[in-house]
Amino acid sequence: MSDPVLQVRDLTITFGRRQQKAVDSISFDVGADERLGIIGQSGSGKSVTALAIMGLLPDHARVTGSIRFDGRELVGLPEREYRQLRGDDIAMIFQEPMTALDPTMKVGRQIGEVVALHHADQRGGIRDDVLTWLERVGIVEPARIADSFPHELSGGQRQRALIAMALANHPGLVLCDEPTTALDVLVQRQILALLDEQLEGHSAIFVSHDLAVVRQVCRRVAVMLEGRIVEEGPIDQIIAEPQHPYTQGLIASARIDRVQPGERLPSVADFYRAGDA
Amino acid sequence: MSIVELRGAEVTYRRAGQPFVALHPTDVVIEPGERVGVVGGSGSGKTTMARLMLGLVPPSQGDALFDDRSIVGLPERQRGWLRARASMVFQDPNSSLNPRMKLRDIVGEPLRSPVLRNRGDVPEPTPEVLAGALEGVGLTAEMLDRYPHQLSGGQRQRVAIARALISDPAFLVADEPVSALDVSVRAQVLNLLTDEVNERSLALVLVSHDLAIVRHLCERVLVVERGHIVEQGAVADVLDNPQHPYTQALVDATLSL
Repeated sequence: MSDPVLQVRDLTITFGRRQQKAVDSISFDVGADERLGIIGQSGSGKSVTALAIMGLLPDHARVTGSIRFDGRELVGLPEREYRQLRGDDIAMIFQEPMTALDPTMKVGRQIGEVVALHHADQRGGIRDDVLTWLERVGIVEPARIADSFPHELSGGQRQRALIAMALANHPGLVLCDEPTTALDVLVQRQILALLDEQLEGHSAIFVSHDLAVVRQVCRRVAVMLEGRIVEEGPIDQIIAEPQHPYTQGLIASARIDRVQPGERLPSVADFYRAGDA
Repeated sequence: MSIVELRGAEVTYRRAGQPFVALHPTDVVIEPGERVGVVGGSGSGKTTMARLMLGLVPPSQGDALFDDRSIVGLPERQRGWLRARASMVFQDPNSSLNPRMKLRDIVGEPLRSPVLRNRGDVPEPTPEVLAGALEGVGLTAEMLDRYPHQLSGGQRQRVAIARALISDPAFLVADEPVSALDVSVRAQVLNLLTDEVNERSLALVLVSHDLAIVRHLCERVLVVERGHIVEQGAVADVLDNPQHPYTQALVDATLSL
């Protein structure tokens, strides 16, 4: 097997004076063209992990351990160098496209800015590039959408624009943080299909609390709980034979369709109770 | 006698200066104790329909009745009975709970309403009543002095449910009550809703794009697309054997493990 694109070793992230551990000594690899799902509930540390890779943690976060991307150490990388990676080699697709997009700037210009920032040589032709990308992510009228402000777009169109922006520079690694949580089922299905198609040839991490969503895009999954990875493996195997009680609870509680209508639904608490929470 | 009835009710909003019909003339009857799912994608008009039933938006034509009484054009001062008989649980407890109010004030607020106070048919917001309301949704009385930010997402939605039920309503609208919650806590909140609806024989309108929870909680379903009811019937009939292409698309888009 070729070297992994991303290699995380003993990553620990603490916040504040009390040194509370948000992420507690986790290790994982993401191979070339591989997509890893990270599943967990709010507060499990999954988003903090993604932000750490992206170098977007606030100043008061303390990061130890190692994050190697393409052989380069990212922990402790100066902001000046991080800025060259971010949006070019590593890109992120956020949950809420309305807050991830600048409300005062037309969508086409925002996408173009990402390209222009990293490819100063490419002075002409950026607009064409943007329109091509909008078309690729399934926007029907790219020119009209490029000249619109984010609030004039539907939720699905905004998420498509965000995907175009993330992929425009052909990043080696794409981080997706709950990219479909704010969408309805119909649009969610379309966006998942689009991601599945467009992430081809990229390495990716897909963070979500919903296993059914992760399974649409990833083959391998890591389950995070209280800052630790408690289980990791092929997603179909984990769904079929979950080992950790928390994972068992997560799967049982997601199978609403297997419970007789009106009967009590199994919950995670039936399988696992947090030690100190 | 029905509890809620829409008769040819239409809702028109203004969008960018242009009239926009969010709900085309619609007839719906909901019986006491009946559980009805209203499903559709974003912008289909499902939330508008629910708000119409609660008198939160006026119809541009047609009529909306509650307890066989028209609620159209009724001034707010005469809606006290409606506010006590009908409640709503919103999607996102982060925005539906006032962050500057303690739980005791949030949960007790419906009872402090000037149109309900001293009428005798709703309880006074005494410490016992407030504690009972929190305990009823699986929280503890000692949480009464906490603020919403001190709770988890699931606990916050429990508070929203306690607030909706404290006036002892006969009709509850739950608008995407679990879609802002983690999959891991959804089941607990759904169990709570099921129990409350059963024990109180509530009529329930569950607005959702998640067919699995509608199937779990409801007997009947209305499928709404672009302001029209395109299909309706018993939940099992409609969801197992969808006739309309839009229902079919919703069924196909639903993910399960």
